[in-house]
Amino acid sequence: MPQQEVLGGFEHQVLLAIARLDGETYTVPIVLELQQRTGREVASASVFVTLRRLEKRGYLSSRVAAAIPGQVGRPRRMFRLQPAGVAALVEAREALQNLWAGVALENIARS
Amino acid sequence: MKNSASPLPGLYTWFIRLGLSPWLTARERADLTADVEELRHAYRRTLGSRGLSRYTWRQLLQYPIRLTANQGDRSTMDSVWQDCRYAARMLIKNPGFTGIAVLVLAVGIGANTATFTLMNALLLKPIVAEAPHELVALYSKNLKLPDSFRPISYPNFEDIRELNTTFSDVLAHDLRTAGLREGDVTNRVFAEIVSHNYFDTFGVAPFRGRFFTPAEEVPDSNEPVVVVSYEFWRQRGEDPDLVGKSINVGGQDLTVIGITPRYFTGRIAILSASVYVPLGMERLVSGFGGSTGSSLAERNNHRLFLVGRLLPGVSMEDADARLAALASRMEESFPEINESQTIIVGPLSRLGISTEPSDGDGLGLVAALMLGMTGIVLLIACINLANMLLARGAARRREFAVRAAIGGGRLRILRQLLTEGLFLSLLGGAAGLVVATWANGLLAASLGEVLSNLGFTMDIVLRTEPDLRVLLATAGFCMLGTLAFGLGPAWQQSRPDVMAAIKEQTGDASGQGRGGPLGRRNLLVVSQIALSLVMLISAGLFVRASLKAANIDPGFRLDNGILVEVDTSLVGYDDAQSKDTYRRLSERLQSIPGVQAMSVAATVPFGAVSSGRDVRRAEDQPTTGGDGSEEIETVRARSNIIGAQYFEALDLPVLRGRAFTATETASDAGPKVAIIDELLAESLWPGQDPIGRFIGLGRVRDPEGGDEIEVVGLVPSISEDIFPAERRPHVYRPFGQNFQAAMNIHVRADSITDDDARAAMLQTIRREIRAVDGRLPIISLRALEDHIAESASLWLVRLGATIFSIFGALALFLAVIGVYGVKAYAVARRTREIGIRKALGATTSDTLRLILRESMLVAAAGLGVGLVLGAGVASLLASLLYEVSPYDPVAFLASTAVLALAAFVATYLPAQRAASVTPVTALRAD
Repeated sequence: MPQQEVLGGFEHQVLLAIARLDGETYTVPIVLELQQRTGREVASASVFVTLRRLEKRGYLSSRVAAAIPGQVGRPRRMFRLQPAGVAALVEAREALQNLWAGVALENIARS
Repeated sequence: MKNSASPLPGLYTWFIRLGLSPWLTARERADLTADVEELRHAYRRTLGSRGLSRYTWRQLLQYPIRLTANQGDRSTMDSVWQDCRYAARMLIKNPGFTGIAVLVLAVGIGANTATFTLMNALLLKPIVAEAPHELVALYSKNLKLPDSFRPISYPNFEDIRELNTTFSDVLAHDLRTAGLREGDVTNRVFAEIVSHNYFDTFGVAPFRGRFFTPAEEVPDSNEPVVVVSYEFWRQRGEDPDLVGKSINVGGQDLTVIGITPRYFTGRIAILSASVYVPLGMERLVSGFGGSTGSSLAERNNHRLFLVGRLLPGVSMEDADARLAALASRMEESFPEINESQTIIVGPLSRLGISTEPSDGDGLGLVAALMLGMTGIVLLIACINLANMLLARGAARRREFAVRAAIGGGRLRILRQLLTEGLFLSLLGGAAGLVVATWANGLLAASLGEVLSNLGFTMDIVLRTEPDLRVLLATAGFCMLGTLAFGLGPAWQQSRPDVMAAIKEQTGDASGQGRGGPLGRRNLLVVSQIALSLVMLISAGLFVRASLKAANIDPGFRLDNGILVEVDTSLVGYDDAQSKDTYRRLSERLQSIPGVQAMSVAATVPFGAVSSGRDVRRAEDQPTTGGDGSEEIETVRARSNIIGAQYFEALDLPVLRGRAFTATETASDAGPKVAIIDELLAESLWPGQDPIGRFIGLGRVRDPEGGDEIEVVGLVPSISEDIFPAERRPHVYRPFGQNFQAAMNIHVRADSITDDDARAAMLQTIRREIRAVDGRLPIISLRALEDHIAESASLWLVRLGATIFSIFGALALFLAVIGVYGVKAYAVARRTREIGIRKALGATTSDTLRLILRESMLVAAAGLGVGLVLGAGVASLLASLLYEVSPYDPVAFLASTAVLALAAFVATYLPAQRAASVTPVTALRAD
């Protein structure tokens, strides 16, 4: 199979979380956002690893930003959504929408 | 909150820096530190501090897994928990397998942990003192005589303490024995006499009360105060008001002023004195050689041992140089006493107090040996387990293949298998820790027993409770074990061979299971048998040595001998009272019907105490050596002080001359006389008659000639201990001319036919001694045979034999399990082949022979390798074996036979079962 990069489920979620957080953010808000939206506990290790993988694929770029004055913390790495990442999100959404089109779960559940 | 106001708790940061470092780049480490800190901050309110801590750890522990796996996205799948849950399920599902595996590992890890705990207590754990590395021992060395050291007198100690520029403090002490009276029983306990700054120099504070004052230290000040050990306090009911009460030591009531801190043992490890008295009370405690009768205040009464605390930045070499300068000043001030003496320092010995520096305690070899032996046990256990895992892995091939087929990576399967291995290891390690603690408790109890057999009460501070070092070592053994037994099978089984495995119905995969005589599992069996044989041979050699030692011919008669030990100084008698007591005792005991002979003796064969003297021909003149030192030829001999009937009591003939007369043994009137044995006579006057000649004692001639002693008798040589094996020369002197307070009494009865008669005789002797003096402590009273059987050196040899037998038995046990397991599995896998053979006409016995022949070939290979290895190990053991050749044929043959038999039985059972299978059943199988 040619190495066509498919967006995995968790990668999809992480990219979406970044998009929700104005396109640029760092690990912690992503973890919190995911937990809040999905209602599940998210391993920070998974987010940590996924962010790096997405960066390697060119979906994200990163830079080190100084700590926000008046807040706890140290300099942290900010991740920004790149055009390739946006494209991947769009593609994934289309794929899902195509799959969803015409599915009537209520009928299946009833039968 | 301010910037960086909440730094990470140290452990988390440490874990990120070091624990995760194999997986993280420097950049990622920095990122992660910031992330974790903020996440903790974010959850602090909702989770509470304990929940937060648990959450953080759970999150952190996932990093290594995620980072190594880093394949695909398992968004919600918590793979480490999954692995663990799965591993736990697998282990619970196979309780038989798990039980045996844990047992095998508990043995392997337990043996290692037990040994390590012991070595830790003996060699590694620092003594209880502040900055123990700064403490050094001081030795007074004679510059003219080679290797001649002496203890240090109190006035010299004071000079060193006041004038040195080397130490922040110097203490003086001597380890003695003292009688401790409790109720109407007097026990002999170890007592330290110490300078007032003894505890300060060690840097310890009293557990209760106070330590000594300078006034209490002054010689002959006789302030009735005593400090007792923590163990002493603990063993007597932890009396909260002990301080301020009085105890009776050496016949005198002393006020307890303090209790030492827990685990304090002074300068040596493990053993501690029970009571500490100030130097001012020196006369109260007798010491091994008895009181010299002279005051500690005399400069030529060399009785003390010194320990100093080096000033910061002073090395041992610096100390030697500075002390040499001090010593020459002391020599100028007191030339006749301090002539040619210098002072040197050396590291504290962990096990002994000596006048001369010791080069290690010889324990290093024993420690290395024991850890080596237990290492082999662990290795055998691991090989065993590897075998079991291989066998089981073959059964799980399809499971793994399915996992691989649906996308489980090889690393994932490997990780799963190693997780299972680690679970087993940890279970085994926990069980091993329990085994180890229990085993060491037994050892400490056994040590206490042998000390009390010697007539001593000594506090044993064998801290066998696992400390961090032991826990780390155990964890290390677990990891080592996991890798050793788990990695190989896991690596092999995680190999993706999907199609073959799924298609395969039954039988053997290529190269697995059967694999001919050199198959993987057979190699494991060979190495297991070889290693087990090494252990069995070692055990055999030690057992042989202990039997040899137990049946030693001491050169005198043991039967009908009875030994009594008493010590008049323990109840505070002076010399006149003591002599009178011994005279009355002798009369009384001799009058008992059935007693043939009785005699006092300063030291007894196989006793805790021996004494040695340098003997020379009285007529010899010293020769002056090249460096101006005077030398005179001497022979080192064991010395004993005895009564008139000593040789009758031991049933030794006087070969020439005569025994001591009653006058000589009762009073110091008359010319000085001695009896020597054949060995000494042969060394001093080869081939000549020693009777009527004169000897001198010591390495220096007495200028007044007063040390000339006439040899009046010649006796056969005897062995007084099992180490060294060869007999030593002896010199005997009469009790009357050489009094000491602590004496033993040998009694020879007419004939003791049975245990009842012996018990009755012991009872009579005890009654008679009580009748002479009800206060006199009877330290021991038993048959001579029992005395020797319970002696410390025999205990040591027996201990060696016991430990190695245990190791050997463990190895044998593991080997049998291993061989049985492998064979049972291998023949089970061959059921179909066996069925075909039988269908084609092979009989049951044909089949049995076939299987047995293959197995015994493997066993023989293992035995061959084991014999060669065993010979190598035996040559390393040679120095520890008592009177047994390291290539002792009995040990080698017996071990080989036992192992061969065990291997045969372990093979025969499964082979028999397989061979009796009917072709139909066999072909239907699977």
